[in-house]
Amino acid sequence: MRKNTSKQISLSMAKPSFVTQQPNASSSKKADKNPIVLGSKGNILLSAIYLMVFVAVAAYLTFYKNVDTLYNAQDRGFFSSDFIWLKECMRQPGGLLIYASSYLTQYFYTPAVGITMLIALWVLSYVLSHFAFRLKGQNGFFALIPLSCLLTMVVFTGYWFYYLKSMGYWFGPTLGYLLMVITQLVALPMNSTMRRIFAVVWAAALYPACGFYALMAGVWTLVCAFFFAPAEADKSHSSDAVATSKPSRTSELATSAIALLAILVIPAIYYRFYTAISYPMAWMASIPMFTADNAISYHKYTPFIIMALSPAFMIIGSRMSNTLNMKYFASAGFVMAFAVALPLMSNFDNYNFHAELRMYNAAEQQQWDEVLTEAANAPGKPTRQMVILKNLALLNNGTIGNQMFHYDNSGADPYVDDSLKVHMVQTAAPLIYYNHGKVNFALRWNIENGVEYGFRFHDIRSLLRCSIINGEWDSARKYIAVLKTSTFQKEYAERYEELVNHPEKIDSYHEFDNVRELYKHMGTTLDGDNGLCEMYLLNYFSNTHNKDSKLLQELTLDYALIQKDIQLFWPKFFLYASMHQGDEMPIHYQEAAFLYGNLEHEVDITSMPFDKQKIIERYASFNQMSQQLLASKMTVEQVGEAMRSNFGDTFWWFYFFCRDVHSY
Amino acid sequence: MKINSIFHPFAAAMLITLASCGTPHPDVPANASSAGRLPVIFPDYTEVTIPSNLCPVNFAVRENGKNTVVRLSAGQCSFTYGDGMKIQIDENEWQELIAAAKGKSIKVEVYVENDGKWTSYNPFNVNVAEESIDEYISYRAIQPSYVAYEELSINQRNVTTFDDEEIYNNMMVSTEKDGQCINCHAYKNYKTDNMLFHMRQSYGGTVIVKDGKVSKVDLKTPEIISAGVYPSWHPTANFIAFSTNNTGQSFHTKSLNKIEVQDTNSDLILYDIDKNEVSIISNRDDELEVFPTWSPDGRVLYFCSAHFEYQNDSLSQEAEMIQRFSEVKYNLCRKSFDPATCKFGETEIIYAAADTGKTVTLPRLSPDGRYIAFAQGDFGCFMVWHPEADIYAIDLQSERDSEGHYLPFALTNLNSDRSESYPSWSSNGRWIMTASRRDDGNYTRPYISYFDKQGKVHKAFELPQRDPNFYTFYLRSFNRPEFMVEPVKVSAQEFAAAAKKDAEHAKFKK
Repeated sequence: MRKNTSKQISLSMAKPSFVTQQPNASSSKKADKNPIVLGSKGNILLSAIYLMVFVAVAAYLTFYKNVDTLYNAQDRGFFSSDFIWLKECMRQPGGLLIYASSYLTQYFYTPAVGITMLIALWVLSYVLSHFAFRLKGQNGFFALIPLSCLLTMVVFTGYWFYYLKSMGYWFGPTLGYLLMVITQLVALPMNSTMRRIFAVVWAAALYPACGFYALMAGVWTLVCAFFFAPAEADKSHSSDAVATSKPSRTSELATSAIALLAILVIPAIYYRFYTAISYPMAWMASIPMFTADNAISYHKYTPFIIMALSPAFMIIGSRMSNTLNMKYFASAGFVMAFAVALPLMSNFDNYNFHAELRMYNAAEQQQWDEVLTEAANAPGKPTRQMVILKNLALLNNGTIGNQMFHYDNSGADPYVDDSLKVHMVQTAAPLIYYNHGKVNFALRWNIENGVEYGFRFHDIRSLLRCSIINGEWDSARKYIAVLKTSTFQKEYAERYEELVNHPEKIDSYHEFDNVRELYKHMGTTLDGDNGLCEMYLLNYFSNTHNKDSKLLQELTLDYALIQKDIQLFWPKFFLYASMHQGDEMPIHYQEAAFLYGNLEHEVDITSMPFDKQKIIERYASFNQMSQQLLASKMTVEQVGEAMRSNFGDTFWWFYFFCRDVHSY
Repeated sequence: MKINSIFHPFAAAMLITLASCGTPHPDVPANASSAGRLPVIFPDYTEVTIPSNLCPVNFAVRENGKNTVVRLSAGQCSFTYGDGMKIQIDENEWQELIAAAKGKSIKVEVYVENDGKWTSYNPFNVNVAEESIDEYISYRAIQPSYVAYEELSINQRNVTTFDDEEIYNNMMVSTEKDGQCINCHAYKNYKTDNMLFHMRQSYGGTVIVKDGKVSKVDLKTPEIISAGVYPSWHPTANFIAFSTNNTGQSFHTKSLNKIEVQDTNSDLILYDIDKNEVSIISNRDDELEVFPTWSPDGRVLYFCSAHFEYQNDSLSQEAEMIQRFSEVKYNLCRKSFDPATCKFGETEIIYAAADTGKTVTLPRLSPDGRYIAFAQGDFGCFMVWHPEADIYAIDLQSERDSEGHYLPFALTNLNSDRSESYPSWSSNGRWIMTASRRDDGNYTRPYISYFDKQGKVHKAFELPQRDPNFYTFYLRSFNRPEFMVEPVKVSAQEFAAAAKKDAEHAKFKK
């Protein structure tokens, strides 16, 4: 008997859903007069078409629209092959899932590889769902519902990207869903009593490793026991029939309720073994959280909730008839529209968000030309972070005095669609401070962010760079050792291992030249930025007077320009002139001097050799046009816009028309 | 008994699987050229003196090579180990070794293989004292943080094994904007039936365990600066001395000190546990009093006090303190105390550190009351961020100078060229522990020195870990390491339950 059952199970597992089946009695009653019934090839073909549609959407949204997000996802992730990291993950339920997800997330280092792995997992989930939920191929579109949600979760984070605390975010829900599907497959051959026992034992056993997903798998196993009979029952019934030889419905309900209760109690029992989670969190362990200080995004949970409930749709799908009637086409159309529209419409397509990620990466690698290309390509107002990175690029390229105002210097707030407050100290401050030579402040925000969101690769790399600049070689050694336990950060670490062992070679590491120059001449004082990176830099550098470093001196002059402060400008202007004798005065500094000299006649500019065409004549044109436009009753904002095309690349335009810039 | 949260069932199963593989005992190479020097090992256990009940001193050999073989010998016992460049000693075999070496030494010979050639290094000794050490230490596991905090835990480590578990973790009650800071765990006479720690912000209050019963109190009254901060349990009566502080942080733009933690005001209060009453011990306007600590007989309260007068009315006290941060220097003081009447005597400066351009923080009396150890630096009160900070001590039986001040001596073998802070004595007075940043300058690690009967301090050793590379990869500090003779018996869940209750407000006694 047992052998026979096994055989039946084997057959059932081999092709339970792609086998052509006749409609059962109830469904045939509702069938069209001339029903189209697909054969097994047709079923497979239709299922494959649904899958291909999804894969096409997924590929478009990941490879094309979010490749920068996903590259940065690995950079803001962490993995270490050291056992200590595994233990750290396992301090909370779901730790193994986080560990595995963190490992896989690393592969976004080469985005094509990571994305392919992610999509492959989705394809695998899709295929297995057919077996687990006995979906006929033509009804496979139901299996796209959870995948659509998983895809959505990958592409819709927006600025929550910086505030996600779950290391396992990018692969975790996918692995969790796959676990649930596999659980159904494992349970499928069991009779209903065994299945209930299995659901409880399985959930209890996997809870430490998989957290919420183990509970989800257990609960759906219980639910599916009502709808999917074991293989033995299939012999006399259609795939979705309930075995008649089973215990009574009441008895089934009672045992299921007990099993459900047992599953729901599992976190409460395990809570005694864990100290790193709160009691309510025991039930939500390892699920993505969209909470930050003073902000929570409820709507971001929607795809996750739908994903968690998605087996219900597949149960419905398994019970649909296999005839291609109007009802079928309506269902398929609706679900496919949902599966395609949800990720497409949820995709966070804000240009500045993606540009910031690209600029951050380029700036970290000191590819300043790429930073400038991104700045130049921005279609609308850039964020202040983009403006700062652009200015850093110009400073490092030595062209800031001539090109600073060739780019938009205003500032749009980071776009968010909920109550999230984005702060530069959390998105890019360590990199910005570092490139200003403010190494201690970079260290500070690396640590602050590491404390809050976990230490990630980009934090560790930044800590390593800062340690090198500070001459903290033992500290640098530590961070190198940590990076070397990752899969893809070894090369970066090894590059600096030689330097750390031979600090005297630092002069040959030219990536540190400008930072060391700024750091060397930085004053030492006790200070604080109150969490406002840009405001601090503005105040600090515009009030700094340095005559020992051309680089630092020019930076102070640039910040004086941004401050639009005449009193701060003049001493820095004259100092710049004295430190660059024989050099041509950059055009923006000439513009500022000419403007300030004409606005306030405190400094005699008559003997200054201003460029006749670019300064004297152009300023006259600027003055004339602005007077004319103002006389025509236009508002200042309208005048600014009208003059942007002619004079938007001048300090004058910035001085008069670039207003209401918000730092964050 | 609590189950170690780190080694929950899954991880434990993995560990058991790994452990079941057994400890290999490789052969010592027959031919090896001599390096003529000691090997570089981490942690450095060369010529250290360890207690007779310490766990194995696992270490990594940090020489160029792929494999190492190490032979440990004591009396008739001899074992060899080697796993790549790590040495992880079997705990049972270690018990044999350490028993054989009690009062004597374990000889350690190190061999390293590189490209098929073996090199031997000069052998060294791990000396084993006759005396044991308190079985437990507790510490706060914290990133070397600035302002933000997320997960904080107070842990207890059994130093005779590698077992480490969380006494309490703030994530059990709150996160995000409701986040909770926990700090200043303290015990009465090294035992845990009477202990405390603070919770700040969310579910704020001081958690006090009295005779095994947990409660939460709010020590802030309108008459005092803040709730209790730095605590010290009275050794006999149900009193706790606290400092009360207005504390701020600011950041060095360039100095490797990185952070200054400053008190703009601080006083001392006494908390009567039975009456739930606080009273003032010292609250002079021109003095910043902090870090109270009782003598073992409970008849003297030692503390630190810095004379500081605000001079610039146009600045806030915080702003002036930031400007004059390097002027703040604490002296070591004491007051007599009569537990029967609850009366304190006059303040006496016993070490005028400020006169020598130094500052004294975190004083701790040895259990016999003879020595007082403290962290000394150049200025300020937060030595963990001061690389110049070292542990000093005063022999209270030594002669005083003409002004009645004692002269301190540096515990050189406990110190390094990086920050040492927070000294604490074992209950038998033979071991002194400090939170040291010598490993890398940023992460605080527990270092322990043997303090022999002659008052001589021996070379410090780092608290051993199962994995010798633990300290490299562990990105948290061991903050405020304290000795305990027994584990905390209250479970983390019980602490969490107490945390969620409203704090009982203390009364102020004039």
